[in-house]
Amino acid sequence: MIDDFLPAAVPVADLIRAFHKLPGIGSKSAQRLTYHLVRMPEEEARSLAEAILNVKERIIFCSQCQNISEIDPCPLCTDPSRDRNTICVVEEPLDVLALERTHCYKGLYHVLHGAISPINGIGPEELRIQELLRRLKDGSVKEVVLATNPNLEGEATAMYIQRLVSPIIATITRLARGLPVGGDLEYADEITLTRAFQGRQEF
Amino acid sequence: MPKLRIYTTESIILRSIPLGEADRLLTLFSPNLGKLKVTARGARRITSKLGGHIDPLTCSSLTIVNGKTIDTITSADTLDAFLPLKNSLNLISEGLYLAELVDSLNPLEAPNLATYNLLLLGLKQFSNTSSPILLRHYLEVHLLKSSGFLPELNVCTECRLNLTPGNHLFSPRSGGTLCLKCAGSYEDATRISIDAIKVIRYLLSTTITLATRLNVSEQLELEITNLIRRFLQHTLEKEIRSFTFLNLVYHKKPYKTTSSIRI
Repeated sequence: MIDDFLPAAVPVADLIRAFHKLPGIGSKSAQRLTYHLVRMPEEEARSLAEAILNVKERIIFCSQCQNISEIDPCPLCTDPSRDRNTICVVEEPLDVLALERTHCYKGLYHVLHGAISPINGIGPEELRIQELLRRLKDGSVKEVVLATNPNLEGEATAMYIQRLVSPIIATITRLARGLPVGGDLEYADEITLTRAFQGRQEF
Repeated sequence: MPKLRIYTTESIILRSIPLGEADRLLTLFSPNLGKLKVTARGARRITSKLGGHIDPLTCSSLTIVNGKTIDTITSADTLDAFLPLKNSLNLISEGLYLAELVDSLNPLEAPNLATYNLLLLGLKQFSNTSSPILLRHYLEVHLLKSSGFLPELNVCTECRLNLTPGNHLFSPRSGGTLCLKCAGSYEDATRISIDAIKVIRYLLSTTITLATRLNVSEQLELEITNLIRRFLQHTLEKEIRSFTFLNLVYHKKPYKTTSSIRI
């Protein structure tokens, strides 16, 4: 398939191949993006290239929360207004952004960089679980909120962490699972409905 | 059987990987179509109507549209979510191992009703049994049988003579048991106890209920685990990755083989 690009000039074919390696980019999208860049003003193309290089050269993992940051510790970990007694454990850096948009959580985060998925070759040792245990050892954290995704991998990850953390931390909580805003009850699966019923609140 | 433009099939979801911005690539096992790979568009969005119906280890009725390169799920309805299994980490790890085993032993689009029934039975039984390890062994040997990979455990794979107690070894490369005389050219041949052979033969001939009532020592259980694991690794030419997690969940340590005695 990719060899179809060979009639194109070598730099163009190289760029198509590079785009094709990105997640969610098929061969047609890779060709469209490449020819868009070919027509782009040189200044814009150069700034895109610099942005890509900056991501690779200037971004590091925060030694505390393991989130992607430019400085270590990251601004969230050094923010004096954050509640240091609570750590919210999430799968990906994007989950931190999603939770921050809610403005309802003021504690710290811990990013695992994935979820346990043995069938896909991701075991606990591939995640930043040991780093979490190290953070919890000093006893200052009173609550761990497990905010992994509400699917089988997320549940397995939450259960595994709960096993490891329960001897150290008294309060381990899990984000509530139930019906999403904007969804239709008739389309909900039985697990979601069961959890929604279990977590019902006085109205 | 040729697939229709739009078809509905009962399926158990074996595997799910993120695809594109909000899609999922699923591996399913259907009783009449076998193993299938399909996409579920937008399934990762929190308001997706597919969401929980296509989570791994769920049995769902799926409506699928035939595509040029890959088929796409248009609607899904849960038939059994195996909720008790999903409430325990040990049982989730058993379920994931079973799913990976079925995925690895079966080629795409090769219907195998016996394998489907075993998978369904296994996912139901794990939450009702007090012997998950024996149940796992029962499913392993029956899955090997239904997919045509069952090792020979009655005669020597070389000379075809009946085995005599104390005069037998096991070699994944030979496809089963060997007598001492024929084992010389098989460097992977190791000793196997007569009890291990008897337990596996019993698992093959009995029902799932009787199999899980068997009283087996921990050492014998470990010997059977080792034997099946070595055989699967040789047959599939790869490690069953979920087994490492399974062992971590049960024993809180990485898997180590028992010291098999080489001849």
